[in-house]
Amino acid sequence: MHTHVKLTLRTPPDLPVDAQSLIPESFVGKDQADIGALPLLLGNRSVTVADFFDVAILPADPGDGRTEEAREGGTLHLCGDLSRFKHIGEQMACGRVVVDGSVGSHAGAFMTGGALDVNGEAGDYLGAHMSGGRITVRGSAGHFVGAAYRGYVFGMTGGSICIHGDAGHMVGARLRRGLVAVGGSCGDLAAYGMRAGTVLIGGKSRVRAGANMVRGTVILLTPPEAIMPTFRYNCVYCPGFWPILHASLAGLGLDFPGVSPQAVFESYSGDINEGGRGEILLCRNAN
Amino acid sequence: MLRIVNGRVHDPSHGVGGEVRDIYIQDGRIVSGEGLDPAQARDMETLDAAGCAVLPGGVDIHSHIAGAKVNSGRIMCPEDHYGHVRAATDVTRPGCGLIVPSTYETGYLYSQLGYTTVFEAAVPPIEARHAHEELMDIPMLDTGCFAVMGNNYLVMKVLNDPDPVRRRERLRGLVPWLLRASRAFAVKVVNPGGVEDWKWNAGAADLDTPTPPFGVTPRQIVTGLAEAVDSLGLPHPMHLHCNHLGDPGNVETTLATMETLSGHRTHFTHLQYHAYGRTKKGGFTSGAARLAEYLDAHPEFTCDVGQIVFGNTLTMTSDAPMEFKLHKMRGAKWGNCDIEMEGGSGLVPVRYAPKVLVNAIQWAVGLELLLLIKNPWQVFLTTDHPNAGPFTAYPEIIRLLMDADYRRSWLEKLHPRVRRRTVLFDLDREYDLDEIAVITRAGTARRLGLSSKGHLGAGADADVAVYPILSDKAAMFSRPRFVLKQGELVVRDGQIVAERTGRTLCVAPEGYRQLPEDLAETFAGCYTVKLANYMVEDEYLRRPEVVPCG
Repeated sequence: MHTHVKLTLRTPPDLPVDAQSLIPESFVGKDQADIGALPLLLGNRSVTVADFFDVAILPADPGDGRTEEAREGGTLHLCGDLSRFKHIGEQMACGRVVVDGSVGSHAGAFMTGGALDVNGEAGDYLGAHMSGGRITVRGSAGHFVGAAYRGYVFGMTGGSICIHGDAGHMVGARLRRGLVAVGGSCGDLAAYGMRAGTVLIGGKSRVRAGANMVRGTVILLTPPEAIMPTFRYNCVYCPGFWPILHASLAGLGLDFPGVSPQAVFESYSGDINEGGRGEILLCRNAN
Repeated sequence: MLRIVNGRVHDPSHGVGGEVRDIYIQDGRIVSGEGLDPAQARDMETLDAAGCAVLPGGVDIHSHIAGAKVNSGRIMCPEDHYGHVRAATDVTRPGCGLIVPSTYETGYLYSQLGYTTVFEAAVPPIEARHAHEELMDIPMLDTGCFAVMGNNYLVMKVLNDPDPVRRRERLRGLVPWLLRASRAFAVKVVNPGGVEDWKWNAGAADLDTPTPPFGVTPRQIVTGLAEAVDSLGLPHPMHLHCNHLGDPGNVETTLATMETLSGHRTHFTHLQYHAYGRTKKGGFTSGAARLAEYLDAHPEFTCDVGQIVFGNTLTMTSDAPMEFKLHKMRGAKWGNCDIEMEGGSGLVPVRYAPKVLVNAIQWAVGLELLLLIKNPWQVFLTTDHPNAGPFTAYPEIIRLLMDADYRRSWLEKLHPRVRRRTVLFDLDREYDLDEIAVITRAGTARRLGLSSKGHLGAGADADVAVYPILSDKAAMFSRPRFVLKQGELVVRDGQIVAERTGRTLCVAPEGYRQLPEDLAETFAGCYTVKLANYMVEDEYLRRPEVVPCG
């Protein structure tokens, strides 16, 4: 049965809240009281969803019902400034989470399926280690988008992350599979140590994009100030996949004015220190 | 006083094999119940062990639980901590980790398996202060550490002396000085000469390869140290990690080392890693049968196994060249430390998989050693924690030893060629509880020279583990009904109910009080610390207990 639960934040907390329970799977089949009793962790103290949120169970939203994710697992609609709520959507496998506001760090980490739509900003480690599903952020995101936690060899291993605004450092660090697309600019070391997959940066990227990458593709639509010396120039060409990726990103609402589906790219191979099997594609002309 | 009643006692040191007996405990020691007034016995605090096996507390002869490399492992593998978290309770502190657990967690996990004494197997003397600081933080266990000497500059300088009499005398003075400097319990030798050789060359030292800078050979190192350990009468013999760990065909080196040391008390550690034959194409086969045959004929030798456990783990050893080779082979994370004048160390995370032929052979070789060596007092259960796997896998290994059908059920999970390269699946032997008691506590305690541990006779430390007798031996040994440490109940039904601070076991053999002038000059010229800051002070030892030599 399709479930549509709406949680409206009354007052933002002063302390960080561990909100691992805020995934659609936790809400399916529960009544208002059960949902209100779901646990959260405020600092080191156990609290409940009802301590922070007004809970409403709504009729199925025909708009949400059209999405495959929502049909499978229901919709969780969160309203308010949730920038102190960490781990929202962590480990979700199905359904859809819509946030009208900002979310804290680790949103969508270890996600295996479903959709997380954030109509605001996101914190660090957005989609870290995710292996499936889709994350869309209308605003900006913090550092380590789709990256690996400390100690792990691989970060994100599947799914897609689409950020309309800017992102911080280490976007897609140790990415193994999947797509991270940033409409705006990003910080240092984008795609650091990437093993495979695709990282696309629409705006400016700061230093050392693709450092230590082993395989995979880094697409920079705005040429950076410098390419690392451990990348070797190959050629200029129009990649066959670009028109498809362009259309797919447009479908997610990520448009790049001035970059056409027939754009031409400079190709560089690297990082030579890691075998030189990865590639950086620099968009050469705007049309 | 406290008594444990109705339990089936397995105390192989005293020939007690499953008889129902009562155990009496007073002031942290086991006492005789003879002549005790029945009324007095009835008034004692009583633990009912009906349906249970009563064993001495476990004694782990070789584990890596403290020191610089363990701490480096914790830093290097935070991923081990994310999934294994213990919240604080009224009794316990919080902790995390399974492969390289935090200090308190290490004590709790061991205690929850019924272990009460554990030895840290490799501590270079210069790192000993750090190791003791961590050992002080591990509750529930009596601990001690082995001082690494096989690549020590001072040792090699002394061994370079051409005069055999003076060489022996000086080594007999230097070894106790190093043991006292590190407040260690025994002499450990890791890849003798090989680590130093790696700093100058390829690091593949054979027994007769002269090792720079002094030109002594691994054979000279092991014989010199074995003689010194014997003449000092240290409670535990030389604890030897042979050359060429992990190489196909290394059984030849191991046998050659055994022949060299024939007649000297020696403990060969994680022998599984040194028991590989080689196929014509250079691949791995089992060499366990040859080693078992040799050990059967040489009662002066013992070994622990270093049994492989399938899954993720972290290798950490003073055998730095081996770790470098492993890193290059697997492309995994690598940590390395040059321990200046005393050797090296390295860390590489690995995953042992049953479908990988080499891993499957390693797994089979460990079990073969345990099953082929006839005398259980000569072979002990370890996983070389965490190198071959975490010590928490001991119950599973015990099940493999006690249940031949279960062991055979593993065949289909392994690489198909393992059947041709090993003899494991032709072995029908099943361990009984007495033999398990030997390889996990009685035998290890005896080999360590701990007269008050590993048995339940009067005067022994009241370290006792009581396990419910179940057909599933893994379940039986993973959740003891009771564990007593120094006479106090610390674990009930697998849960920690009290925290107890253990003791530090060390030795104090007679030797140099001060380094001779030439060695002190070498020390002053080469070490990064002053001699005055080298010795570990008493305050770094937790309730020290000096085990007598001789």
